[in-house]
Amino acid sequence: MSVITAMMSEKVTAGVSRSQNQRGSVSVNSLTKMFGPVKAVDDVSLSIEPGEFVALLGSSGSGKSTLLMMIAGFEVASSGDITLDGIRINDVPSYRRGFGMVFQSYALFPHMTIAENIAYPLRRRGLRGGDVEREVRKALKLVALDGYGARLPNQLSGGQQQRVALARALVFRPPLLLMDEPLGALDRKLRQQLQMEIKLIHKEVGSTIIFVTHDQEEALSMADRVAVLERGRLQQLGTPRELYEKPATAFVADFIGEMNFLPVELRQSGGEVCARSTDLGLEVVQEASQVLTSGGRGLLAVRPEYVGLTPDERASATVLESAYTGTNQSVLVQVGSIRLIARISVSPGRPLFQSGQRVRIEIDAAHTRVFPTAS
Amino acid sequence: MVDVVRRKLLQGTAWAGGLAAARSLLPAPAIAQTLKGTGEVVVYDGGGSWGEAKRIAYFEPFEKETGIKVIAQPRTDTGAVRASVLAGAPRYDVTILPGGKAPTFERDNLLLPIDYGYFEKADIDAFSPVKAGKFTVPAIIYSLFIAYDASKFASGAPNTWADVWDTQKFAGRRSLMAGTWASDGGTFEAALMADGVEPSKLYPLDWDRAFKSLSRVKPSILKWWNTGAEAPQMIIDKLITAGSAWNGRVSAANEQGAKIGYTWNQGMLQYDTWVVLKGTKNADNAFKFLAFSARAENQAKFVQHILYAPPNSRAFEHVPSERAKLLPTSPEARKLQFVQDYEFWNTVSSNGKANNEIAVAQWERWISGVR
Amino acid sequence: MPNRRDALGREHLLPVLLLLPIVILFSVGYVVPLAQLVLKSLQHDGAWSLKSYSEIGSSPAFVWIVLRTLSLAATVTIVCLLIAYPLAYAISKCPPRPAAFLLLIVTLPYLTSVLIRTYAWIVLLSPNGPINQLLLYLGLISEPLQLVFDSVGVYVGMVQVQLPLMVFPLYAVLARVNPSLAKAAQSLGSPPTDAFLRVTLPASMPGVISGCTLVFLSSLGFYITPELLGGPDSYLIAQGISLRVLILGNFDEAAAQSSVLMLMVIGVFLIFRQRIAEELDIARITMFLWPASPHPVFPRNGRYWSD
Ligand SMILES: Nc1ncnc2c1ncn2[C@@H]1O[C@H](COP(=O)(O)OP(=O)(O)O)[C@@H](O)[C@H]1O
Ligand SMILES: [Mg+2]
Repeated sequence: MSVITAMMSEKVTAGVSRSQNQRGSVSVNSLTKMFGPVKAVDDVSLSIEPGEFVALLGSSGSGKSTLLMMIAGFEVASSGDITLDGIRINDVPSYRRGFGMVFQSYALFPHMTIAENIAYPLRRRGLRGGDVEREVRKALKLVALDGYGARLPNQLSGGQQQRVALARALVFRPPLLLMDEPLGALDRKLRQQLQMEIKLIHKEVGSTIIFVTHDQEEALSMADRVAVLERGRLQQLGTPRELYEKPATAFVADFIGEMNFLPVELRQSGGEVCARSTDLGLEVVQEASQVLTSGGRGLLAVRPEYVGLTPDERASATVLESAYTGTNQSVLVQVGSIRLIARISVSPGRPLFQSGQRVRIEIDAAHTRVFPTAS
Repeated sequence: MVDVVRRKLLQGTAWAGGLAAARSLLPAPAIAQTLKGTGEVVVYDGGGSWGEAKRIAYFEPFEKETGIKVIAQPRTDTGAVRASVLAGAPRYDVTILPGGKAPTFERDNLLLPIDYGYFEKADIDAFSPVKAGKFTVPAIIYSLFIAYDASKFASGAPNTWADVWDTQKFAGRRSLMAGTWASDGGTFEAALMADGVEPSKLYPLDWDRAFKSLSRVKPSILKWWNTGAEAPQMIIDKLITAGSAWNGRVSAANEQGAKIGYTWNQGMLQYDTWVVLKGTKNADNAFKFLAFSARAENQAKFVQHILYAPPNSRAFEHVPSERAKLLPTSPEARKLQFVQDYEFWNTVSSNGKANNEIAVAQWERWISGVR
Repeated sequence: MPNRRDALGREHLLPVLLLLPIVILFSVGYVVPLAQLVLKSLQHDGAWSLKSYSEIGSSPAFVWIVLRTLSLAATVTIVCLLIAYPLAYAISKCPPRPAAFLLLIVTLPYLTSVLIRTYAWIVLLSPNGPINQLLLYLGLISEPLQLVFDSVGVYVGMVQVQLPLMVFPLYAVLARVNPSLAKAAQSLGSPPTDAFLRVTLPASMPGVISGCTLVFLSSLGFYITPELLGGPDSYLIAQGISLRVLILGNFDEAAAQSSVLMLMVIGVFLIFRQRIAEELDIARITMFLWPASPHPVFPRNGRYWSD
C-alpha cells in the first residue's frame, strides 16, 4: 500500500497531494431535493473537513444516494448550496467537478480491459503514452491487482472489480472520493477485508471521502464522522463515539447500537428537566437545553451495558430470559409493564442470572439520555 | 381483327390441335350421354364474386341435375398446382388455368385429354373466338384494354395505345402491368401497338422495338401493377389518368360508382381454360362438369353475375343486350379487339426458352438498366 | 477437457430428450426442404447440372438485382437503427410499466398482416392522403409530394415493418447496460455526449449488431412491401424468385436464386452468430416473460442494476 505515496509525489496532474491537501472541504447548506411531492433530501446542512472520511448512514430510502448524487452533480438540488473549498459548485457539471466515484455495481466499462478502465480518466485529462502506463501500473499495485491489466472486467471477481473501480476513481487524485454502498454487493468476509483496505488507502491518499452505507457497523468502524439520515433529514453528524454515547435524537439512539427506551414523565424546572419513572422508582435530571421540552411524556434511553442487576429476593423486577455469550450475559428483565435488557459482564466464579430470579435494577444516570415523545 | 385460332388451325400447330383435331380424334356422338353420375368432383372455385357466379350458374345446378357433389376449392398459385400434379395428388380434379399457362401444363404432360363425348355438338361448335382444345375447354374470356379517368378526359379520351403513350395530349401518370407477368399483362403487345404496329402484325413480337417503346413510356409510369385491382384503384385515387386494366375489374368498380372510362379498341382478348389434371380419380365427373358448364344457358346465367365473357357464343342468345354490351365478346366489342396469341408466348426458341421466359429475362435486364 | 465426459453424462440426457421433438421438427420442416431446394438448384431438366447457376451468374441483371436488394436492405437497416436506437434508449430509461406498454406499442404493427399494413401506407402516403393533405393545409408544400410508389414509400413501409426487430434486441441490451456506467464516465471527466459515445454506445454494441443483422437479413427476403409500395424501378431478388415459381414455373432457376440468397443470409448469420444467439435469447425473454420473469437476467424491475 505504500506505493500510493510514491505515486502521489509524482507530478502528474493538477490533482491534490497530501502536501496541498487543504483542498477537499465540502459543505452543504440547507440542501433539499424534491422528487414530485417526495422530499428525498430535506434541508440538510453539513460540512466536511479536507481529508475527512465521512459516512452517510441511513436505512434504505433515507436519501443517502440522492444527497451523494447532488454532491457528485448527477442530481440538481431543489434548493440549497453545495460548496467545494468555499466555492459554490451547484452549477458545475459533474464531469468538471473532478470527484472520484465508486458505485455498488462497480460500473467498470465492460468493453475495456482493466488497464483501459483505469487509464480512462487519465486520457480524458490529456495524459498519453508512458505516463498513462506508469500511472495505471501504480494504481493496480495500490489495489493489489498487479498483472491484471490485460483482463476484461467480467474475468474478475466482484471484490477484484470493486478494487479496480477504486483504482480508477483514485488514479487522477481527486480531492473528493464519493462511494455509494461500494461494498454492498460483496459477501461479509470480503467486505471486512475491503473496509480495512479502503481505510488504509484513505490514509495514504488523503482525499476527502464520503461513503454511503446502510450498515452501521461499517459506518462506525470506517468513518471519522458519521452523518445519520432518516427520511431525508440529517439526524446527527458526529464521530462514532458521539453517536453512540450522545445520540441527538431518539432515532439515532435507536439506530446505533442497542438501546433500552423507558417511558418517563418529564417536568421542567428552571434550567433542568426531571424525568421520572414510577415503575423503576427512578429520577434523572438533565439540562433542559438538551431535551427541548417543557414537560409531558418522554423516553429515557439507556444502553444495556449501563443497566446493572443485583440479586435481591425482595425486589420487584424479575428475570424473564437470559443469553450467555462468553464474556457477557444479556438479561431480559421485567418490572411493572416495562421490559429492558441488561448486559452484564461475566466474571469468574460469579453465578449467572437465572429465569424467574428477582433482581434489583440500577441505572447509571450519567449514561442516560432523555427524549421527548413526538407529540 | 385477326382470328388467331383460325390461323392456328390453318398452320396445324402443336398446342391444342384445335377443334378439327379434337373432332377427328373424338367424334362426338349424335346424342350426348346423360350426365347423371355418383361421387364427387373437386373444382377450382376462384373466390369472391367469381366463385359466387360459378356456384350459382354451375355448381348448384350441376349437383341437382347429376347427383354428383361439387367440392369447391379456393385458389392456389399455378406453381403449387403444378407441384401437386407432379406429386401425384392433384389439388383439383378440374381447374382453371390462364390461357397462357395451359400449354406449359400440356407440354409437361400434366393434363388429361378432354372426353368430348359428354358434350353437345352445338355447344362445342359455338365456342368462339376461342375454340375448345384437346386438353382445354375455354372457361372465360376477358379483355385487357385501355382504361382511363373519365372525369379527366370527358371530351377526347385516349382511344389507342399510342394515345396512352402520349402524355402531351393526355396528361397524367400511367400504369401498365409489370412485364414480369409476360403474356398475362399484355404490356409488350401494348408497347408495339403504341409504336404503330398493326394488331394483325404483332406476332412474332419484336422485343427490341417493344422495349424501345417501353423506354419512352417509362418516365410517366407511376408503377407497374401486379394485381387486377390496382389499376382501377389508381385511377379512382387519381394517381394515374390512364393505363391498362382488365374489363371485369373496371366494370365492377364502375358498378360501385367509379367513373372509369375504357375503350374496346386495341383491346386484347385473353382467356382462362378449364383443364382436367392428370392423376384425378374423378375424371368422368370432371368431363361431365365441363360438358354442363359448356351449355349456352348455363354460361348465360354465369355472365349475369360477373362480367367475364362466355366462350360459348350462343350464350348471347340468352343475355339481355344491356348486359351483353359490357361483355368483351359482344359483337361490337369483338370487332375492335384481337385474341392474344398464347401459342406465340409458349413457343420455345432455339435456346430452349419459351417466349414467356424470354420476355421476363429481358424485362429484368431492362428494369435493371443493363439491357 | 474434464468437461467433455460430463457433457455426455446422464444428467444431460433429459435436456437432449426434451430438445428432440424440436430438432426433428426443424429437420423435417426446415433442413430437408432447404436441402431439396439446393439439390434442385443443382439440377436441370432432371439431370445434374450447374446450368441454373451459370445462367444467373452470367446475367448482369441478376447481379444488379442482388446489389439493389443488398443496398435496399442496408438502407432500411440504417434507417431502422437511427430510429430504433433513441426509441429503445428512451424505453430502457422508463419505469417497468410504461416500458412494457411502449414495447407493446412497438409490437402492435406485427399483429396485422403485412398486406394490410402496406395498403394502409398507400392510403396514408398517397397524393390525396392525410399526410399530403396536412402538409398542403399547413402550407409547407404547394403540391402533393410523391411519397408512395417511390423509394420513399418502400423505405417507410419496410422500416415500419422491421422496426420491432431492431427495437427489441437494442432494448434488451440497453436495459442491461448499467446506468452507472454513464455516470462513472462523467465522473471520470467525460461530458454526457462523450460518455455516451465512449461507454454506453460500445456497451450496447451487441444489441446494435444483432438488431442490424436481423433487420438486414429479413429485409433481403422482402417483396410484398416493395412490390406494392415501390416505384417503377423497384425490383428485388425475392420478386424475381417469386415470379419464377408462381408465373414461370421455372423451379430450377428459382432454386438457384434462392440458394444464392440463402448463402448470403447464412454468410451474414455466421459472421454475427454468437451475438445474435445471445441477443435473441434476451429478446425472447423480454418479449414473453417480462416483466414478471424470475430469470436472473431480468429481475422484476426490468433492470440488471439496482443502485
Ligand atoms: N429518480 C427518482 N425519482 C423519484 N423518486 C426518487 C428518485 N430517486 C430517489 N427517489 C426517492 O427518494 C427517496 C430517497 O432515495 P435514495 O436517495 O435512493 O435513498 P437511499 O440511497 O438512502 O436508499 C426514496 O423515497 C426514493 O424513492
Ligand atoms: Mg442508495
